[in-house]
Amino acid sequence: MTPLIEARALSKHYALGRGWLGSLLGIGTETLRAVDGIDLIMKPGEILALVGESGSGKTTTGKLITRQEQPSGGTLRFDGSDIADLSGAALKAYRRRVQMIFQNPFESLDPRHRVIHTVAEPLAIHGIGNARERRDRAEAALARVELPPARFAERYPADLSGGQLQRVSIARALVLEPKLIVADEPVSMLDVSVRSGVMNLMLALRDRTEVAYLYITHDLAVARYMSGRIAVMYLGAIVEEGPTEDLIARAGHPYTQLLVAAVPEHRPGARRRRIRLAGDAASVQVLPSGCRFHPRCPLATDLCKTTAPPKVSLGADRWSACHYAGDVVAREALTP
Amino acid sequence: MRLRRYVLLRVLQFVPVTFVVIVLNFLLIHLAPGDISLLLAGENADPAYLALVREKFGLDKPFLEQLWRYLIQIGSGDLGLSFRSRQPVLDEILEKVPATLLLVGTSLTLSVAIGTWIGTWIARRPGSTLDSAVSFAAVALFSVPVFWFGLMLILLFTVEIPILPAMGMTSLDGPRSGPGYILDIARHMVLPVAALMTVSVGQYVRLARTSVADVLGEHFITTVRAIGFPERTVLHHYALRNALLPVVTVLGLQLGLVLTGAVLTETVFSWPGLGRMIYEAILARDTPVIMGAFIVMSLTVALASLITDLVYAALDPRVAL
Amino acid sequence: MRQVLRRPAIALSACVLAFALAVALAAPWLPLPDPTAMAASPYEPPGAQHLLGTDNFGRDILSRLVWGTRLALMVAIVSSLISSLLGIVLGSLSGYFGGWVDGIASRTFDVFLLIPTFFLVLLIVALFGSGIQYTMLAIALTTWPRSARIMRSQVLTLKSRVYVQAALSAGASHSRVLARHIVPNGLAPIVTDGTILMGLAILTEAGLSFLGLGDQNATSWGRMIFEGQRHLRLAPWMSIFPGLALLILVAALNLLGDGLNQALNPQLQRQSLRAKRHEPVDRVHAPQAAVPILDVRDLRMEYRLEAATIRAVDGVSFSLSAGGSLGIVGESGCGKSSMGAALLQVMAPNAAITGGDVAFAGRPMLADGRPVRIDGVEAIRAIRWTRLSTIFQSAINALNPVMNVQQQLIEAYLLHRPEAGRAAALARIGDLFDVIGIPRRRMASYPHELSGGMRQRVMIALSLLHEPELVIADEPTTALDVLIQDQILGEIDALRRRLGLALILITHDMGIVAESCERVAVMYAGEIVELAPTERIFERPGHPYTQALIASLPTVSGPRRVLSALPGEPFVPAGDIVGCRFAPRCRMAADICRSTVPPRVKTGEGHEVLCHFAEAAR
Repeated sequence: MTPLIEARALSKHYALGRGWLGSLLGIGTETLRAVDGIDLIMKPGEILALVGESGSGKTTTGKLITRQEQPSGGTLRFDGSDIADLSGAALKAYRRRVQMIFQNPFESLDPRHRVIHTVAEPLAIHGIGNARERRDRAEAALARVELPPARFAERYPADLSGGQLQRVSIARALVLEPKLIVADEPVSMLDVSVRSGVMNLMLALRDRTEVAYLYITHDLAVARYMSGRIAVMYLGAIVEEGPTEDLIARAGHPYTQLLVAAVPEHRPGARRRRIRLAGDAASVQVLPSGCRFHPRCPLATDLCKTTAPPKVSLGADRWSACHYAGDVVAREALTP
Repeated sequence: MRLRRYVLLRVLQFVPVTFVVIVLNFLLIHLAPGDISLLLAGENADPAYLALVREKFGLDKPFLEQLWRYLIQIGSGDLGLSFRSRQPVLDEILEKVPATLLLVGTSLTLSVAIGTWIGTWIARRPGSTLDSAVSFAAVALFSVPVFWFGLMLILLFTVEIPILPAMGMTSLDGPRSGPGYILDIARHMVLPVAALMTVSVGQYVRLARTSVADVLGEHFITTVRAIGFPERTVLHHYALRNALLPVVTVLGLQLGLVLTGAVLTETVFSWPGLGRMIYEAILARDTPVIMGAFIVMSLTVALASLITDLVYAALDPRVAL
Repeated sequence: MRQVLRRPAIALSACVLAFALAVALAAPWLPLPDPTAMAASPYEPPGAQHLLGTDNFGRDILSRLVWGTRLALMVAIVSSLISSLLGIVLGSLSGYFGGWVDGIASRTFDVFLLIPTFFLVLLIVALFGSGIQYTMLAIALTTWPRSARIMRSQVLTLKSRVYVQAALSAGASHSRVLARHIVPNGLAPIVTDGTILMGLAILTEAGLSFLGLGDQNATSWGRMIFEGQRHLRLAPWMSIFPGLALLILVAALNLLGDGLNQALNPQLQRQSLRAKRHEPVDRVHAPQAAVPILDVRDLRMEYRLEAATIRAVDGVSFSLSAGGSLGIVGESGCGKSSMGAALLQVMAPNAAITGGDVAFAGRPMLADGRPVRIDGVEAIRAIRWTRLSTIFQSAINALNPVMNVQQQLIEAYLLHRPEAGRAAALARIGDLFDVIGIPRRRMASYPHELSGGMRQRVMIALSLLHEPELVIADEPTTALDVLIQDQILGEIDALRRRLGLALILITHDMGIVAESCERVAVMYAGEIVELAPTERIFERPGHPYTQALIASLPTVSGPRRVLSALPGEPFVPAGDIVGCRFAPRCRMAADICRSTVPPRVKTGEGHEVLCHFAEAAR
């Protein structure tokens, strides 16, 4: 079967300038390796969670796949065809098939447009149907996200709550019946009590429409609930990938283990042992040598400081970019 | 290191400003109707001087060479001769600077000080009737046409109740030195300074009020209040310093308007400064002086903006280019 | 729109402008003498024949004033229209396309902005002659960078708005995005500034005419003042009235711009909302033995908003023993942070404590909603930071951005120990930084030079400066990365145990309190709906809201189960509240819940539940 998304050595580098005069005088130009040669494959209809902290490059990866950004290196295929260099009409056609849901629901909708207008806009952009048909399809999309059109179609964003706004965003993403939706932290800014509602809705819609999700999040617990497979990113690279339950239960990378351990237990007394990390996350502007996680890794050896780790296979569909992946999996938890 | 690079880059930005001002001047001369040499030399200039000007600016040469010569000419500080006095324009301007500086400096210092004080004071009572009243008055004040206000002051304090002089900088029969001289100048300054100050003070009241109120709403103010600092310290030590940053910026940006006010005020009060000089140049169609004044005024404003930016950078560690 | 017109300044200036416009348009048909006719006798003072008098040529001043309105408004409208249009187009393009286009364009705006309008206009008029068209053009040409700069910064903000990205990723073209989403949303400040530009244009033209450079054929207020100047002693009315007209018209424009700016900027609006606060009450201090470190009874606090008054904290009671830890959990807007602010008595200007008693180690801080004064000093002052301190959320500006970290800590140290001296302060700060894990060489950094995690550590060091007995931590780890968050929580927990601190941890995350607190209070819509020992609340949650919260949280351990979802939206406590606040979202709600305020039921040792069905809920 052709993969839905196939990325090979995909990169996005930004040149950091020092203002126009600075660059004119050649004062310090650095490269920010936001995404640094990742491989990623998605099957049609699957949910892949991309997990990482801020600065890990997970959002940039989403923007590359939706082609809001142009890759600076590597290949990117959608349904078998190259999309890395699309432009003009071909890019527009691609956008019909891949949609995005954004993090901040309060800025996701144009405050001057009514809800129905916002949901119907993608149809208008692609010239689908006449005004009547567009309205019908937009109303159907609203109904699917459990916002009765009779009550919500004519409202303005200012009259809606965060959860309702995010449902409108989902309706807008669905209206073109895309093959893939890239969802960037869609619930992290919502109130706790409405998060699960939105997550359940997204899962139900997937079951009905066979759309695939690339679900971007920093929260492993959310990733576990939403996805079948997880890819963990750190400083622009994927450090571990595998089926969700297996990856969480038997993490093969120290970073993944730390992430799992950092999720608070909702059970009292289950006090986890915390490992004191050395300092804050490094910056993508000054990538460490060897393994990019070594400055913070409690298990780092001299090898890690000098040599970038290979992908170590940990069974079917599973690998970890750690010299000691096998040992890491075997450990109960990351306690020295 | 950070500051040094900032200063260097910021000073370098002065170059394009100078360039644009001179080029703009040049283009205007070429677009204007009439003989360019007459504009450069002034109407009724004698033929010998006209010929000299044609030669100096290469008026028979191609356009770009003319531009080049003009840039060199102006860049080296040669703004030509005033057609009335036959003196170099630059000398004429420099001679008038002290009087204008005295007027502008005094009124600006007063209006910034008074405006900031009132603004800070009402910022602690936002939403009160007093706040609304002062805000209203402040907006009304910067709508006052300064030249008209000057006339009204003359009408009131020289015509109706003759207590203050309305013309010039000194009395004709007054002392020429000593404390009496200073007092005489001070008496002559009262009305023009009052006029200039009144129209600009509102600006600073508004600005200080908004920016102090903004800062008082920031998180770190809650922090210092929770630490237990008394309200006076919170306001004067913590809020005011941060709040004055926008005042510094505006001070630089608004100098153009202040100088405009000065020209009009000097005209009303016959104050012997740049404004008066420009006014007389206009009456006599002395174009070299008007052009020179434009260039000098523009560069002064650019310089003021440069200085305020540097002051800002020294006050706020977050500044980077 | 209605709200905008309700402001008196806007309404007043809109009336003035409408009147001026009407007068200007109707000028030819008004029963006025010809403004240029030298018909009457000169220097006639205001009277029945000539309402505002006549000038030195015997022309009617009222008539000239009316015709002058035409010129003033024409100058204002034409020049600000050209300037705004130019600014909108160039500013939008520069901001939207960025890169080198923006580099060049925005530098150009900056340079042109430095050119003083009036002097350029002077030069242009001196070179080209004094036609009104030159004046208008010159004003427009020197003021457009102002609009362009405003538009550019608007576009820069708007283009990163998610709805713009959404339209682009849906396949919309740049022109569609600019025309439909960016420019319409960015116009408001241009319009606001446009009114101020109009005032500036009128004043510039008047100033020019006053210098004798105005259009000789037009009736201009500036020219009237120019002529009146020479006859100031003989006929002061010649200059008084045109000046007044100028002042009124320009002030109306400026007030309109100012008012619109305020109306369109909700932050400026909120600044001016103030809540009425209670005066302090005097008490004598009587020491008590063996009391809780903090005792809160029926605490109430309100926010005044434009539309309503929100009862953010509505009758909260709890107590905390020395060295104990209490987690306060709730969603945004439930009143948990407001409660923290009320305990410290540092609130936003539009908030006020309206009731309740608070005692710290037996000393009254708040009595019946009024701050307590002991020996003339507010009691809270005596404990602020020395006994009660706080850790705020790691917002970038929780520390003063223009002062280095070390200086801020020194000042906080010396405030309460003025006799200690700088050296002692430095030593203490150094020790604290070691404890918290900040390298000493970072002591002199500015807040913006530190990472979020470091800033939060500095906040913790600041809170521990005077070895307080109680620390209130308000969302101390929100906005931090997962690993750093975990670290900081671990550090707070360890410090608490080591120093014997009491801790109130305010958070939205059930998981965080599960690990760090002995007891948990769950807040909903201003009330504590459940208060219990941590183990018990997770094992036997008594309130349907607590149950739903726990059941809606995903986990990384245990079997994967379907999460339950709460219907509806959080309740806003304002106005008259009937029955239970959670009833609209509650799966168990019955008629009694919608009609009667639920009782506070004790369901076990230290376990209270605010529910009609507290016993049955399980």
